[in-house]
Amino acid sequence: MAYYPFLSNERSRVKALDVDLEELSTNPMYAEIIENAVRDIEGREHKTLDRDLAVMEFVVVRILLGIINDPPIEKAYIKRKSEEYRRSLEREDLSYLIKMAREEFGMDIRTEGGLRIHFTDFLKHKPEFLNLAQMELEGGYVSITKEQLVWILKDAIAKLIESLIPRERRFPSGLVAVARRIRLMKGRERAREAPRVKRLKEEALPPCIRSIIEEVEAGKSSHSANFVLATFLLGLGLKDDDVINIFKRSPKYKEKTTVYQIRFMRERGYTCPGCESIRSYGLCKWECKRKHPVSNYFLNLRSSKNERE
Amino acid sequence: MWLKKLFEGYYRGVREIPEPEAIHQREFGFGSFSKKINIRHRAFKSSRELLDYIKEEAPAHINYSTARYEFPAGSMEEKGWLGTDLVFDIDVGDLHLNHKHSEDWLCEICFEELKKETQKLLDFLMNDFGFSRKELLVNFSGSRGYHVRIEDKRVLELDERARREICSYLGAEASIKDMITERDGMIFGPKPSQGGLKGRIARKVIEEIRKSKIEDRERIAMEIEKGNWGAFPRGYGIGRIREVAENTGVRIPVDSKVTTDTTHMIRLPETLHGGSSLLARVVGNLDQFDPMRECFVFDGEETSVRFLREIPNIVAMGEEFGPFTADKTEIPRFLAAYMAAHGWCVVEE
Repeated sequence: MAYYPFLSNERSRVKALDVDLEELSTNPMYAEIIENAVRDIEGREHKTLDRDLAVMEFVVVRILLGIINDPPIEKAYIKRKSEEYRRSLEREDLSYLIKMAREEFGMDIRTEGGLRIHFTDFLKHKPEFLNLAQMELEGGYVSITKEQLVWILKDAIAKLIESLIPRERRFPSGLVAVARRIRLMKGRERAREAPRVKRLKEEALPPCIRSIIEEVEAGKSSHSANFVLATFLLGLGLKDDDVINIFKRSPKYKEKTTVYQIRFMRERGYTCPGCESIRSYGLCKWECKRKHPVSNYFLNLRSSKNERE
Repeated sequence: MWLKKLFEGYYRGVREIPEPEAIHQREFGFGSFSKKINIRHRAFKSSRELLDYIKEEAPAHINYSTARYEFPAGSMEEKGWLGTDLVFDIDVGDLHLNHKHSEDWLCEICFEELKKETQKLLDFLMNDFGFSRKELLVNFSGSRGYHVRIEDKRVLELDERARREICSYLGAEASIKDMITERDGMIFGPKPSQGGLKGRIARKVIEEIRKSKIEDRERIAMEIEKGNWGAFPRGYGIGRIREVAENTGVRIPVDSKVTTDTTHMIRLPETLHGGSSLLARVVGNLDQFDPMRECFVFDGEETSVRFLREIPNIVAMGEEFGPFTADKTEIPRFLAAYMAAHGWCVVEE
């Protein structure tokens, strides 16, 4: 059986091991754990540690992510780890998965008459490719397969890991230095990779975004439309002020709210939803045959032979 | 203003207002006869405190947040969202009825259709979503539809995306293409015994076939019961069969904006609607409910009015009135309030 350090009994073992975090961050005996945690956060190959060390490593990873406090780094780590766990969970027995769903995540799962999950748990954790409208829903329960349960668990695990990252507390000084190193490295990496648009070329906008801008200008845009537009513009690499200027076109523009929300989205690292989600929000009625509005913008730029900024 | 005085008089006599669960965590908003909400971010500790305010102000519209907040009187950024009830709004405007009367008018058929759709919604919520009838709080919206609210703890945490999924389900936005497929010359489709939309669509198609005059209809219905949708008569290719499934009318036209917006404000049940003067009455037995009989609260004293437009026949409180021409006449006070709130007449005081 694979090892799942996020399980509550594993986490409570950390307490039983009684390791002082300050000592852990400075004692060379634990250097292997820290090195492994760093490699894990950076997405590099890392060793499979034995159970006691692995549970400690999970603590270190969470503390490091708490110190780094960088949403994109956090998001990338959680995405990668939850996918790793999903692949492991695929190999587990159904009874083990049901136990985990019920006991760790409080999901309401029924097994009589087939595997079923309460629709609220399904909606909270379902992957994008599953839609309630296509599922069999009866008496409040959605019929699912074992594979679908694994996907649902993947989302629950991702949310659990995120909730376990410590926020605003005193961190062991040894780990603060390690975190600084990761942040620096990731920051450089991001600066190399991130798209940079200095000025928006409206002719390259995907039709859904163009339509949302028209709605903004008419003062008729919905919350989800505003969210898509803001994350799209941030995703292009525009500065906050340039994003805010687009929203200023709305007759209902509110300076305080807009500035707060744009900053909040940037700080939290919200990314623009993909085309499938945008369609499900009822904001897309076009057939671009593209997957994401941000890449669509750059492809449009390229195909119209405009110079990429 | 005549209507304002009527509202004041009505609220003076009100002894209690049914309070939404966790009233102290709700934001309240009040409106005038010209604007539905012009005061927001108000909070009350109890229904008693709220009623005192209502008696004092007699607002034309009383709305509360479907959301619960830590600090309901704070600005949106400060409120601290705790969860939102699951709410549905069925409005006559979303039914796309082909009536000859003007859009702002509701005839008896409009009211009947509204009830039918609301019954359908309750059926979905009970059979598919597993709520008991007791958990479904139904009230007349006070004007053009019905509200259905669910305060169950399990729905509170659902985010906008999850609520949109529920709307898609009610709107039967399942892909018929995936549901009805062709393989080795056979056409497979959903069975009536299946749960969810699949079963609903299959059951509806079978019902329609049995009612139709298609030759061999009983055999076709029995084949569909087994999932064999290729039993339709000649001329029905997969495209046409999908069309039949698509047009079953299983969908329910809920206003998805109301359901998905987790900060939405909705009319407080058992309060007056400033745009109609009707009471947003809580509905027990929907079958028996008639808003044009049960939601008038004012008496029948003869009132002089001058109509500003022509008004067709109207049945109110079990009596037929009109038609009215743009002229002076006397009508009962409850009807005068209804007409005046809509802006169709002025009261000659």
